[in-house]
Amino acid sequence: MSPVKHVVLSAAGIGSRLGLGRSKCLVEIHNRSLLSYHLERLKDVENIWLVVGYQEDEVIEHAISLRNDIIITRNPEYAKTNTLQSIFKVSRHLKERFLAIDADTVVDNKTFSAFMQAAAIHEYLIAVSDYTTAEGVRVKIQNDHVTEFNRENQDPYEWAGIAILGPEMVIDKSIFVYQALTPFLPLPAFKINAFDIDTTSDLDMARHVLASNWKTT
Amino acid sequence: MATCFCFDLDGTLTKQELLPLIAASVDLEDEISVLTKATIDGFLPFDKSFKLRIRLLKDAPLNAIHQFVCNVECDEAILRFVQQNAADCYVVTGNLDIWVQPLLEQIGVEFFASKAKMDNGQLAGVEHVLHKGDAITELRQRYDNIIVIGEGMNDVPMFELADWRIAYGGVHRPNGSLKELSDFVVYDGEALCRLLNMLS
Repeated sequence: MSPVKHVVLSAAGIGSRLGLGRSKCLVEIHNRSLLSYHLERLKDVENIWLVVGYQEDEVIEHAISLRNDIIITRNPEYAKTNTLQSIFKVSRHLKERFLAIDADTVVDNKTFSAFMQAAAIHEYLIAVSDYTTAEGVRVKIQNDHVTEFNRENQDPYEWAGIAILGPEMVIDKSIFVYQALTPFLPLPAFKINAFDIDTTSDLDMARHVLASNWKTT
Repeated sequence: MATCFCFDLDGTLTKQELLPLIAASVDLEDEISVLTKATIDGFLPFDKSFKLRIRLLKDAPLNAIHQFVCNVECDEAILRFVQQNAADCYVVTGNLDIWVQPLLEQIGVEFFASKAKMDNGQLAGVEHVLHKGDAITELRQRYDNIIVIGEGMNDVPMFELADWRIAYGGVHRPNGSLKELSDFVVYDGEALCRLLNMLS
C-alpha cells in the first residue's frame, strides 16, 4: 500500500520551450511515454488525478489506455495558468496530503521508492535532485530541510517538481509552485534522481540517463 | 452546504441504452437506431427525434417494456452510491416516465423524466420532453452544491447550471461538447464514486 492516497499529475501545459508540438507527458523515451513511466511507478496509489489542458483529447486517450480509473481533471485555461493553478483544481477538493508530480519529469524508480518510504515518516516532503537543468529552480538545504528556493544556479540541488504537500499550501494564484511553498519553509527534503524536461538538451539527457539506468550525470 | 448528485440514466447509471432495448422488444431496432444516429449526428433535434421514436414505440406492450427495462444492467458502483445516498441522489433522464418508473422505484431513487401522454391507459405520445436544465433549476431551491454526471448532448443544459460537472465515459466516450463543459472526465464507476465522495 502506498503511504499517500492521492497523486496529482500535472500535464496541462504546452511545453513550448521543447517545441515538439505535443504535450510533454506524451513524449517518448525509449518507446514509452513519460506518462506511462509515471503511471507504472504509481500503480499502488488509489487515486490518480491527471490535470489535462493542451491536447487534452490525445492525453486522455493515452492515459485511459494505460489506467482506466484515472480521475481526469480539466484545466481549459491552461494557456493562461500555471502548474500551481492546475494542482489547485484538485487540491481544493482534498482534505489530506497528496503527492504532486510534474508529468514532464523523468524519475529514477529506485530513489522514488525510497522517497515514498520516507513519506511514511514525514507528513510533507520535497524531492530534490542533483540532476540540474539550465532553467531549474535550485534549493538550499540545511539539516535535511529545504530552507530556500532560488534561481541563482549555485546550490547543487534542484527542486524536482515532486513533493508531498497539504491542500492548505496550494492557492489559486498565478505564481510558481516553489513560490507558494516558500512561506511553509523549512520543509523536509529528500534526494531523488529526477529532472524535468524543458528543452531538447534535457530530452537528450533523459535518453542518456535512462539508457544507463541513472549511472551518469 | 447541501449537496445533491444528478445522474443521467441511459449509458451512465445503466450500462445499456434503454431505447434500443425497448425497440428490440418490438423488432424496431434498426428503425430506432437510424433516428438515434440522426440525432447524435445533429440532423434532427433531440425533441423531434424523441417524439418520433416514441410514436414508433407507442404500441409496444408496457409490461414487456418494463420487463426489459427492469432487467437492464446497471453500473454496480454507481448503483451502490445512489442507494447509499438516496436522499440526495436524483436521476435526470429524457426518457419517458412510464417506461423508466419501475426501474427507478426498484432502485429507490427520485427522478425527473419526460412525461408520457396517455389515452385510456394507452401511451398516446409525449406530453412534455424534459429539458434537463429545468431539473437543476428546481433542485437549486433545495441545494447549493449540485453535482451532475452525464455523457450525452442532452446533458448539456444540466451541465450549464451545475456547480461541478463530470463527463462519464464508463459505457461509451462522452459527447465532445459535454466534455468541453466538464470539470472532470471519468471512465470507471468506482473512480466516479470516489470522486463524488470527495466533491460532497
